[in-house]
Amino acid sequence: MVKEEMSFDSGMTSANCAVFDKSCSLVFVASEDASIKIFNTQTREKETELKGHEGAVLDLCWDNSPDSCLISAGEDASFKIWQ
Amino acid sequence: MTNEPHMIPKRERFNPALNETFEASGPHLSHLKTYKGHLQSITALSYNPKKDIVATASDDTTWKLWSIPNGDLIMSGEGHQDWVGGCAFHPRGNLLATASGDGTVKIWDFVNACCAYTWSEHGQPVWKVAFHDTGDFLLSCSMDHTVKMWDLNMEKSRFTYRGHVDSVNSVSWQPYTQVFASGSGDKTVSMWDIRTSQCVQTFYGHQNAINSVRFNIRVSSPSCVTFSRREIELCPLHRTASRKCGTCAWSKKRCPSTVG
Repeated sequence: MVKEEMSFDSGMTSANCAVFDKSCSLVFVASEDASIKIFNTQTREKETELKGHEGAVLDLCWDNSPDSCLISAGEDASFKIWQ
Repeated sequence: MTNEPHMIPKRERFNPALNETFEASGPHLSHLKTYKGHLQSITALSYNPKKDIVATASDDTTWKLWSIPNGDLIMSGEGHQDWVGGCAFHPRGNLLATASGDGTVKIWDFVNACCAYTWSEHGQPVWKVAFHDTGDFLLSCSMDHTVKMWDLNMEKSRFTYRGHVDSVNSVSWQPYTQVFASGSGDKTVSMWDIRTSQCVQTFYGHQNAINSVRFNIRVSSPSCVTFSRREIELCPLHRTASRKCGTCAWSKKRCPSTVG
């Protein structure tokens, strides 16, 4: 059986997409408020926010490289690479 | 298309991620580059499993391929009549599937630069698509409350998964298995097994519509599904904004399965 293990509150804003990093220790959340929120699954705390998009962030993905770049895309018709 | 249905595997495949250790990506990420190239919102991303190429899907009815990290535009796909909400690369990297507000799912063969198939059985907008790791099957989820599974050898859908009572907004395969999760506007996540075509389990807990369902890459250790939610007050037709939000992780205590 599957149980809810943890839950993160990203505030009064929609979470449009959530992805684990490859180590599964962080969850990256694409937020309607134009930020990417990073939660730690060990401490269950919010780590930080990545800012830069000028509209809602709609999707996230990882590249294939070992040092894992994050790619984000959103309403501002752009996509960004984070390293 | 041969019209010979693909066999649904009975056993799970080996998950290569189990043999690897990954360092935490860290909250230390910093912004590297920004690329503009669409006329409207980019709704979805997919990273090519074989090459350093990312696909973007957009409200401007097109999809595009970009080389990473230099951001050169490689190809642009036109053909959908309405927004494109989802895109996914085939595991071999030679095909791209897209889901659109025009109610169709298209498979693009970008090696031959053409639209290989158009599947239009969903009567309503299609949000997202996901390829099975074998590359033989594709899932699509739609505002028509269903998930459909398509066989790349068949012109018609292989199966329609019914059970949700609102739009199905997201669909994701549990890596290297025959199980997938769907997240819906009805605030539930359901797990389905394509061998039995049955709903295995439904999770309740979110207080708003579910936007996104994702697995972590390790299947056998406690595996997690994450998702988020949104309010159902519709803003634009195909995407809703909401004021309250959460993300949940779910775990399944289960022994690693044998590898076929």
